[in-house]
Amino acid sequence: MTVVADLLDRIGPVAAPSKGAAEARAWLDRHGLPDRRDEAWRYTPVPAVVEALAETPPSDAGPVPSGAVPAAIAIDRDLVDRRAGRPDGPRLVVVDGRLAAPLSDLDALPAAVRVGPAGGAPGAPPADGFEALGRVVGGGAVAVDVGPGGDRRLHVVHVATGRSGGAHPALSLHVSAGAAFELIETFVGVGAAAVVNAATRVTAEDGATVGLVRVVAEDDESVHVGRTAVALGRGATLRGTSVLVGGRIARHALDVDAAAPGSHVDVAGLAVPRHHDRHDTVVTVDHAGDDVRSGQIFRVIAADRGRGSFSGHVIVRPGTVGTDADQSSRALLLGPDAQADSRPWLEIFADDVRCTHGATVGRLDDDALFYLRSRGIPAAEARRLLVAAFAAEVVDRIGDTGTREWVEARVRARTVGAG
Amino acid sequence: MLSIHDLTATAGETRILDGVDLDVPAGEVHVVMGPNGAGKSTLANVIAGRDGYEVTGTATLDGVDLLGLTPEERAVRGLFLAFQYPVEIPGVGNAAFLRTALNAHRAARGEPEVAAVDFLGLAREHMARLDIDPAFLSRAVNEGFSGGEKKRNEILQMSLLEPRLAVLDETDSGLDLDALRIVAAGIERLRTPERAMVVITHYPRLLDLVRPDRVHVLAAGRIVTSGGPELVATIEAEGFAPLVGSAVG
Amino acid sequence: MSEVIDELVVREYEFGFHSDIETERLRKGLDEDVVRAISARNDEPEWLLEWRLGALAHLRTMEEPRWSNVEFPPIDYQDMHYWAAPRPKGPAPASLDEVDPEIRATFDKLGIPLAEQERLSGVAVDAILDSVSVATTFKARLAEAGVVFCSFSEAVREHPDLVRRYLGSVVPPRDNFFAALNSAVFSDGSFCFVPAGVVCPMELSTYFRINAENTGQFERTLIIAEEGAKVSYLEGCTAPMRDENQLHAAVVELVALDDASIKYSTVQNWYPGDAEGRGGIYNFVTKRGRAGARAHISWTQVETGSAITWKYPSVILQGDDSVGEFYSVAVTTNRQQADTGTKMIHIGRNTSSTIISKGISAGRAQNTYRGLVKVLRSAEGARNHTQCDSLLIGSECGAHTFPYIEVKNDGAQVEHEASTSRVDEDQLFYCRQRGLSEEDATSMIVNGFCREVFDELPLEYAVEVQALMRLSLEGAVG
Repeated sequence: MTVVADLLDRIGPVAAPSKGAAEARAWLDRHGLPDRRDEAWRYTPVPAVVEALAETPPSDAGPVPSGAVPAAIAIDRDLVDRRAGRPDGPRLVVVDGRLAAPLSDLDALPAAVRVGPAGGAPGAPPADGFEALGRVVGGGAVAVDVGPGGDRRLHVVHVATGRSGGAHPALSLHVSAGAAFELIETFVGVGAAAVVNAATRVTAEDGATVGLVRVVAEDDESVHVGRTAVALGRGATLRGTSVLVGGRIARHALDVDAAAPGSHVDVAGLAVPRHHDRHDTVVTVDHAGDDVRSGQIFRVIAADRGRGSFSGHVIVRPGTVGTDADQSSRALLLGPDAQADSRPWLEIFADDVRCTHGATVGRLDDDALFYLRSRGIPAAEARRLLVAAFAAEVVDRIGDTGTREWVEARVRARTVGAG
Repeated sequence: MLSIHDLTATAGETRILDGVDLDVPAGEVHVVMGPNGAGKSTLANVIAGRDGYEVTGTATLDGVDLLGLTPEERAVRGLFLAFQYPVEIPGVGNAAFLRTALNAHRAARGEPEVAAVDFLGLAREHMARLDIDPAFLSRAVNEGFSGGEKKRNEILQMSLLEPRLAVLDETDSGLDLDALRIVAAGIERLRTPERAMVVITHYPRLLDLVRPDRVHVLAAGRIVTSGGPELVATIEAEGFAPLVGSAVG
Repeated sequence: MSEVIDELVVREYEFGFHSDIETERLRKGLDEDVVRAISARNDEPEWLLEWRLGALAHLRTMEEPRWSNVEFPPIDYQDMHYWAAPRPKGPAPASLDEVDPEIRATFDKLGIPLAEQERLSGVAVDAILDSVSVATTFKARLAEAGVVFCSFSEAVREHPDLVRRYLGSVVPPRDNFFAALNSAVFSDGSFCFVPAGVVCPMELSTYFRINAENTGQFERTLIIAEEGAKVSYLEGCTAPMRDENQLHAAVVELVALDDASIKYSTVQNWYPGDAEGRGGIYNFVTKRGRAGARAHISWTQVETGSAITWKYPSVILQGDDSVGEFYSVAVTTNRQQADTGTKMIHIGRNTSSTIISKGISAGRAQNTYRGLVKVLRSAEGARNHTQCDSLLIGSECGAHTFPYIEVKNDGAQVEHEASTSRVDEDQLFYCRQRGLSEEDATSMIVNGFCREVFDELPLEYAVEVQALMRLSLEGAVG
């Protein structure tokens, strides 16, 4: 517990005391932060995350009032556009975990979409010690409530300024029965090393269709640990796409709770570590309901000394029937010092299942390279094409053109010259 | 020999067979034709005892009620189904599979098991007659077989097991002319006065090679028309629509 | 199908008898005195006693591993005997004919006749009852070829240099809790040495039998194949039916020097416990091989017994162009739990490994594959192919697949495929339409599912194993 106490001492609770924060603190005292024995954190260097949190430059700014922006860095719409691309549709801007109303299109929200403070009420138990920590020090959580209707999209751009104690953005999304909605979350910095500890919680009621696009594009020296927890109602559909294209440490944990019957989970992700980056994606799909179908497609492209890890866990609970689960994990190593890890796990307690997984690790296919070159395409261009094709399986899922092209450009920039 | 009366089959909410009547005497080859979705494969599956259907009516083979029997009991009483999509069984050798099947039939007839050596001789004899590559025996059941090879394997099994009644479910579909000839030859070879066959097909093409005794048209779960071989020419000329229209309408 | 599954609980264990052999044991408990007593009984040199004591000292700093996917009540390591042996009736037997008739009868009953003329020719057997080796067949014929095949205790006496050089060289005493435990208290085991260039003229096998009550079995196997040598080795294991759980914590070390080849096959049929999960062997085993340049180490295992199986036969692919293989069939029924798999550690260039794992789970059993494929930076051109398939029979069992793939070389190619399902309904119907009963059909499909692994077993055992499989799943499927 000393690590927790010491860390809290340094970064200090900045949120107004609330019941939720108190419960999170109690949880944290009981469970602590993840440690070496925590299998889910095997490939994220937890001590480095803790160190980064403790070492973010001290600031005397004190508690930040909701909606305000630290004065030191002028963040305006132009800056957000430059950093996060200009998506098609309304946008919320969250700076260091707090909704920046002046930068957000609060008056142009899609029909039946309400945005407000989440309040400090206790929520679901934290997924891990960092989420608990975020609840203790965070505050300013944003709640998005989606009423009936279809074909709506909202962008949430999280900007981290590198302020002391890290940013702890929390977002909750509720999509009502039968509604269809897409949330695009992007995480960017402003050029300063930042620590971002983000938590997104999604509830999709019966028959809802939820699209989640999550792009971590933090700056090179930044650290990002994030998680998305999704609970699906009967017959609900989740289509999730998660991309890690920034941060020296970037982690995304996706937990899907498919407890109701007939839901459909279609999730994919791409991580592109370079330099000495450590990128880690951890996915759990919990089939607790009957007739749940799930598919996972995860890709790693590791350049330089980057290390990309994927852990995918399919759980099929006792007594369920009609489960269908597929998982595909592939890693591409661009260069002799790149590394990749893959743990495609199946944990199955029922027999009416059809589950498969496949995983590969390797470099670019020499035959494919040769084929392209034999058609007159220069080697570097051929490599670029093949890397882009490898990424496309995931990136092409992003329906918003602006976001997709922005991600493609980042992937290209991070892999150019490698391989 | 095969006698079906007022047979219905329902899967979930859907009634697929809606009162089929069909009599196939020994020594005859009957063809069942019909448009897609008419219930042809369901008829074959229900006769063979596949799970997943609610079944009423009667179906007897040599006077024995088939519907109360397990699939294997029907099989050893002489019912053979050539599958539309023969199943791959990885790791199980074709020879071991065929010998086990043959011995199950022999045991039911109170005959002793066939020893491995004798079986190999017997199998080779049948394969030679059907112009089937002897390498078939050392491969796993249908695993990695082409569509045509699978269908030939069905004919080989039929030839070895010498059923009383063979039901061939679209055995001719997806075959090139050579494979089609082998299938037709297999049928002709097994055409004996003691044996009956029901050939389910979508295409009249096979009927250039196998001349049926009777032709039935199945539509919307019923036999709507029956006739002699000349019915095939009508179907070829006019399609199913004129025959089916009256039943469905 | 369900009524067939319900019969699962009737599975009978064929080897559950207990032999009335007078047994000598050390007192219960684990301490320095017990370790000294074991060492003294084996008449061991000082260095080996020190080695054991070092392991014991280290053991005291370790905790029993709990990361595997198995559940069991705490083991009281002080409440068991660490050494038991048939009490000798007079001087040690000078030949196989002089082995205690009761012991011979025990092995006869297990289908392992100790008389050479009755044995399948071409298979030499080391028979181990509780803590000691009771007989080794064909020693003379093997000696002619230069092959040493004897009990571990005899090797310590007759070939101390070899033992000292290689003991703990692949599985160090501190490797893990159970390896440390074994290093402290191991009693006997098999030793095999095949000199450079020699192809062992026959199959070697060790047959392990636990007989005594309240006794753990801690054997140690060391197989050394020098440059270019070749050997194939098989172990089998059984135990009586008892209500208590008994601990078996073995260590197997394989040393394959350059161009050598070791094929190690296991047919593990320890008592699995009854239908309610009472009794059975806790099988916590560390098996590892080290492969030199162009060497080849192959593990094949058919695991049908034990209440709990915890073992990961592994290969350290140290030399360039070395090859590691792991072929496994693990069958769990009733309340059995298995957590088994392998580790392939690629260090040398162009090393390659193959993993084929077939898990079959029935009743209320839990069956886990856990495997690590690790390609180090040095392993340019490394290749791995893994295929892990699980079959579920009945709705109350579990099948779990936990692979770890860690690649630090971009020239490596690693492929992993896995599937989990129940016995395919279409396959069952197809077989039944050809006249096979449901049980026969299921049995045939399950055997086909395991075919790739069975094909790796030495020919002499292939038939035996299929019969064992059938017996294991009797009532469950056929």
